[in-house]
Amino acid sequence: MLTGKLWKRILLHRYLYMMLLPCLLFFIIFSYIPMGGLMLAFKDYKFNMGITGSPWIGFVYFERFFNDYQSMNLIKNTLIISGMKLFLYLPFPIILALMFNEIRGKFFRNIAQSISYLPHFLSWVVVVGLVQRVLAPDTGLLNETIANMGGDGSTYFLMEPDYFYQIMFGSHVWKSIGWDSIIYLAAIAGINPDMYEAARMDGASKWREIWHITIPSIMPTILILFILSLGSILSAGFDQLYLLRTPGNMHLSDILDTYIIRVGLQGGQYGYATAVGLMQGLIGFILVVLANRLSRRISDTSVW
Amino acid sequence: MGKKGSIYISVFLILVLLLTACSKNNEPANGGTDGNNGTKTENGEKPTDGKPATWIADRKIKGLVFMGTDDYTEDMNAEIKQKLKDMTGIELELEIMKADHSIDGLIAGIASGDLPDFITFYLNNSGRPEMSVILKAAREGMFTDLTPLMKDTKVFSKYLQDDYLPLDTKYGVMFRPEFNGSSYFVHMNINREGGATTRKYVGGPFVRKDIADTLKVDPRTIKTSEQLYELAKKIKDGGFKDTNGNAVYPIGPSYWGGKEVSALYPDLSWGASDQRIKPDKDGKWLHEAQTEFAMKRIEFVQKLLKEKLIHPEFFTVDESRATEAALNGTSAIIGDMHNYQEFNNDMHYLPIGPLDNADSPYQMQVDFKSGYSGWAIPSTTKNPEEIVKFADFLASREGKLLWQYGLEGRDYTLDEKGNPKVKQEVLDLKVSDPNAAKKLGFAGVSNSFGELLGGTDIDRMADFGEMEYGESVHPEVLAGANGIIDYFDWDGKRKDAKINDGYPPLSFLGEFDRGTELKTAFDNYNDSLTRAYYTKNLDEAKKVMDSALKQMQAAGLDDYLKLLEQKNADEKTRVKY
Amino acid sequence: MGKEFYKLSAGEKIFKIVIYLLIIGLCLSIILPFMNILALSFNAGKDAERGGIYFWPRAWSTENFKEVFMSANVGTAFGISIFRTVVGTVASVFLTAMAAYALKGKTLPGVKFFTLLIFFTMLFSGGIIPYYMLLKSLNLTNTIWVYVIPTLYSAWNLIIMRTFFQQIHPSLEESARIDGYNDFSIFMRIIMPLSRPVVAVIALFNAVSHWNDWFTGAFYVRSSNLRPLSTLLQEMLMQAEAMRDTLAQAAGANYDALEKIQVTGNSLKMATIVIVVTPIILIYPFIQKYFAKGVMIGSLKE
Repeated sequence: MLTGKLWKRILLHRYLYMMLLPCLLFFIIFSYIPMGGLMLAFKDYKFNMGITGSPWIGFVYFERFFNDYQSMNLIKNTLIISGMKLFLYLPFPIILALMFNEIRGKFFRNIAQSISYLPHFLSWVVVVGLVQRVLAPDTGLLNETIANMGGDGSTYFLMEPDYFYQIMFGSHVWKSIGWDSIIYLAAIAGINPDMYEAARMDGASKWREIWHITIPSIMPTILILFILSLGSILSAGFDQLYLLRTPGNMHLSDILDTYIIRVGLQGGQYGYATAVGLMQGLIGFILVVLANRLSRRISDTSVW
Repeated sequence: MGKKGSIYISVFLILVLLLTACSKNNEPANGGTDGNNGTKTENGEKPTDGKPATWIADRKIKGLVFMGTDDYTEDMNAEIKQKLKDMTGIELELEIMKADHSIDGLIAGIASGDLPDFITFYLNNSGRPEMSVILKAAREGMFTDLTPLMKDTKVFSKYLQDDYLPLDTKYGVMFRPEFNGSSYFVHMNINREGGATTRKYVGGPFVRKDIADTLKVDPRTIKTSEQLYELAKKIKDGGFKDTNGNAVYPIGPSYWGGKEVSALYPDLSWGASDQRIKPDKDGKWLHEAQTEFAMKRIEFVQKLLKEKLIHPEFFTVDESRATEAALNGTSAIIGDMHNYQEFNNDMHYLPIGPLDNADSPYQMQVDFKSGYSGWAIPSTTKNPEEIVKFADFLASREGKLLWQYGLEGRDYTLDEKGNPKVKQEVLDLKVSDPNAAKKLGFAGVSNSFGELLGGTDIDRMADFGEMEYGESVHPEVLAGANGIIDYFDWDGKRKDAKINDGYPPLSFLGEFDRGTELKTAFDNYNDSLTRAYYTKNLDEAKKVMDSALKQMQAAGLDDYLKLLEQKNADEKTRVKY
Repeated sequence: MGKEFYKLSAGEKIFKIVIYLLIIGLCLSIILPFMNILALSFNAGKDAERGGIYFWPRAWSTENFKEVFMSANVGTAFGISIFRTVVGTVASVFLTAMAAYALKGKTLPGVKFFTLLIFFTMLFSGGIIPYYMLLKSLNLTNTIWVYVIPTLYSAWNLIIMRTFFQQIHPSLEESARIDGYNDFSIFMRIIMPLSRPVVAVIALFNAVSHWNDWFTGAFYVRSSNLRPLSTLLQEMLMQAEAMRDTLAQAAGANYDALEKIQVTGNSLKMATIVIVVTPIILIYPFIQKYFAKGVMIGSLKE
C-alpha cells in the first residue's frame, strides 16, 4: 500500500523529524499563534473584549485605505524605493565580495573587510546625521569642495527633490554593502578550489574564471537571497526614510511604513495598521511565489 | 476653598513637617549623613501606633512612565525613598518606557492588562496622539473612575470645583460629557491661580548685544518684519564674525534645531503657528491658507534666503548644529530661544521686539492654565484610593517640599518663614557634577519622580517663597534670566496680557469624523510651507500652496471650520486663538 | 601585491589596481566618519558643543567614557548583552543547523510543506499586541529569557543555511551512510565540519542581531536592570528625535516642553557608540579565518 510505503519513508527519516520538531514547534508558538492577531484587520478592536471578542467589521479598513487619496502615491513611492534597493542594489555587495576575493594580501584583505562592515553597526540616526553634515549648504564637505572648484556651493541637497534618490540610495549602499557581502564571501569560500585549478590549466583569464566558475557557484545563494527579499517589496525601510524626510522631498519619501506609524498607531487605530501590514505581506507573498516558481524552472534553485 | 483654605492647609502642613523633622534638628549642621538617617529610620518605624498624619498604607506602589525624558529615572535616592516610606508607608517604584514610540508600549500594556498600579503619559492638550489611546481605553472600561476617590482629598478635590480647571482640561480631558461626571485620568501641571506662570519666559528672536550696540540699534524698537529685514541687512553689510572668525549668519536657527518661528514675522502669520486657524474681523473662521498671509510670508522668507540673510537650513537644521551656531555666536540673531538659558546668563544676547501682529500691536498672550502630563489607574489595581491619596500627598506642600527640595538638613534648611533655603553644597555640586547631584534624588537636581503624581496645584511663590529652585539663596544663577525679564518689561506687559482659556482650534480633530485625514492635511500644509520657501519663484510656491489647500478642503476643512464656529458659540467649548 | 603581480598581463594589472583603489576608497569613506566619532568621544563634552571637531579631539578627555561607565545600569547592561549574545548565538546556531539539515533533503516527506510553513512567518505577523500577550502568558516578559527563547530560530537564517547545505556534494553523505552512520551523526560528523563558512556566517549574523536588538529590551522588559546596552544607546539617540517632534508639534513657544527634553551631549553619545560597537567588531577577525578560500573541502575530498 502507498500509505505503508509513506510510513516506511517517514520511519526511515525519524532522526530528521526529531531534528526538525523543535523548530516547527517554535514557529507554531512564536509565529502562528500570534498571527491570530491578523484578525484585527477585519475587526473593530476593543481593549475590554480582546482580539477574539471584538466585533467583526469586514473590509472597512481596506476600503478606507484605497479611498485615501494618498494611498496610490504611497504605494508608488514604496515600490520605487524598495525596487531600487532590491534590483539596483543587488549587484553591489556581490561585486564587493568578488573584489575582496581578488585580493591576495591577507592583512590588507582582513583589515579592509573589517572596515567595510562597520557602518552596519551605526543606527540610521547617526548615519543620517553624518549625511546632513556632509551635504549641508555652504558649510558641508561636498558644497565646500564644489565652491573650491569654482562652483556654487549653496545647494541644499536634502531639500531638493532632484537629489533625493541619489542620497537615499548612496547612504543605503554605504551602510549595507560591507555587511551584505559577507554572505557572498562565505559562499565563495565554499567553492571547490579544484575547479579554479582546472580552469587555470586551461589558461582561462581572470574574467572567465569569475564569469564561469565563481558566479555560477554562488548563483543559488544569490537567487535565494533575492527571492526572500522580494517578500518585503512593500516595506522600504522606515528609519532611513523617516529621518531623510524633509519638506522638499516628502512627496517622494513618504512610504507605507511611515504611513502606518503616523495614521495607524498614533491614531490608536490598531486594526488599520494591521490591515495595511496584511496587505504588505500578501503582495510580498504573491511575488515570492511567482519568483520561486520561475527560479525553480530555470535553475533548479527554490525556497521550497 | 480658594486662597484662605490653601494658606490654612499650608500652615497646618508646616507644623506637621516641623514636628516630624524635629528629631533631626536636634543634630544640627550635618544631620544628613547616612548613619544619622539610619537611626532616624528606626525611630520613625517604632511608634506604629502613632503613625504620622500623612500615613496612607503599608504597601508598594508601582508606576509605569510612558515618557522619554531624562527627568524621570527609576533610581530613587535611598534616603528619600525611606523618608517617603516613613511618612506615608508607601514604597514607590517606577518603571520607565523610554522608547521613541512609547505609544506602542502603552497600547500593548493596556491590551494585555499588564499594567502596574498607575501609569503616566504625555498629555499636554487633548490633541496629543496618546490622548486617543487613553480615551479609547477609558471608554472601554480599562481605568478606574477617579471622581469619587478625589472627593476626600486635599489637593485633588479642587479639581472638582467649578472654577479651578481650565476648559480644555475640564471638558476635553477629564470630565468629558460622555463620562457623565466620571473621570478616568488626571491632568497635571495645573497652576493654583488661573493665568499664573511658573516661569517668566521671554522668548522669540534674540540678537547679539555687541552687534546691536555697534549698529546702534535698540532691539526693542524692531516692531515689524520689514524692520527685522533691515536689521539683518545691516548685519550682513557689517561683516561681523563669530568666535571662530567665520562670518555670521544674520538670522540663525532656533537654539533647539530647525523649525518654523512665527515670532520672526507675526505680522505675516495667521493664528498661532501650531494652529494657523482663527476668525477674521467679521467672525468668520479661516485657515491661513485661505488668507493672503501664507504667500506674503513665503515672499518674505524667499527674499531672506536669496539675499543670504537667513541660515539656509533655518527650518530643518539638526539640534547639535543649531546649538553650535548659538554658542559660537555664529547666529547674529538666534531665531528662537528664551531667557532661562544658561549660556546667556551674561546677557550677550538680547530679545528683539516683540514684533507686532498684522492687525494689532503686540499683546502678551497667557494661557489660563496648561497641562503637560497625566496619570491613570488601571481597573486591575487593588485599593485605588491609596494611590489617589498618595498622589494627594505628593501634591501637598509637604510632599512637594520632599520631592522638590530633598531632605531637610541634608539638602536645605528652613528659614523663619518656613521656606526652604537650599544648601550651598548642593548648588555647587549641581554645577560641578550634575550627574552626582542628580543622585540626591529630587526635582531641584533634576530627578522629578514626584512630579508624575504630585506636580500640580502649582504656586511656588506661595509655597516656598521663590519661583525657581535655589533662587532665594543664589540669585545670580538667574541673573541673566531676570535681567532679560526687566529689559523686556515682562511684568509691565503681563499687566496688559490677554488671558486665554479655551481649546486650541485643532483639539476637536479627535471628534471630527475625518479627523485623521484632516490632521494629515494640516501636517502637509506645514511641510508645504517649508517646501514653498525653497521653491525657485513665487509661482511655483503658489502651486505648492494651492495643492496643500486643496488637500485640506478635500479632507473636510470647511466642515471643520463650521464645527469650530459652533464650538466657540458654546460657553463650555470656547476656542482660543 | 607580491611577486605574483609582475607575472600578470597588463590588463590584469589594471584590473587589480582598480580593485585596490575602489576598496581603499570605500574604506576611507568609512574610516573618516568613524574617526570623527572617536575624536568626539575623546573630546570634553562642553568643548565639543562648539563644533568644529573633525578627526582629532581638541580638548582631550576621557570624561565621557567615565561618565558612561559610571552611569547606572551600564555594567549590568553590558552583562545582559554578553549573556544573550553568547547563549543565544550558541543555542540558535546549533538548533538552526539541525533543522536546516533536516530540510535540505528533497526526499523527506512533507519537506516542501514544512519549508513553506517556515517561510510564511517571514511575511505575516499579527503585530505587537498578540505577541506581547503570548510572551506574557509564557511568563517570558521581564525575564532574561525573553532575549534568548523567542529568537532561537529565524526563518531567514534557516533557509540560507539550508541552501548552503544543499550544495555539499551528496557523495560524502552516501558513503557515510554505507558506513552505517545515522542522519544525526552524518550531520554532526560530516555536514558541520564541511560547512564552517556558513556556520561562521550564521553565528555572526546571530551574534550581531542579538547585540544590536534594542526593541525587545524596550518593549518586553520593564525592569531597568534587564535592559541590554543597545536599548540604552537607542534611548540616548532618540532623544534628539523627541526634540524634533516637540519642535514640530509646538512651533509656538512651548518652552516648558522643550526644557523637559534634555538631549544627551554629542560626545557622550559618541562614547556610548564606541562602547557598544567595539566588542562586536572585535569578533569579526575570528570569524574571518573561516572564509579563507576552499576550507576543508579540498582536504576532505582526498
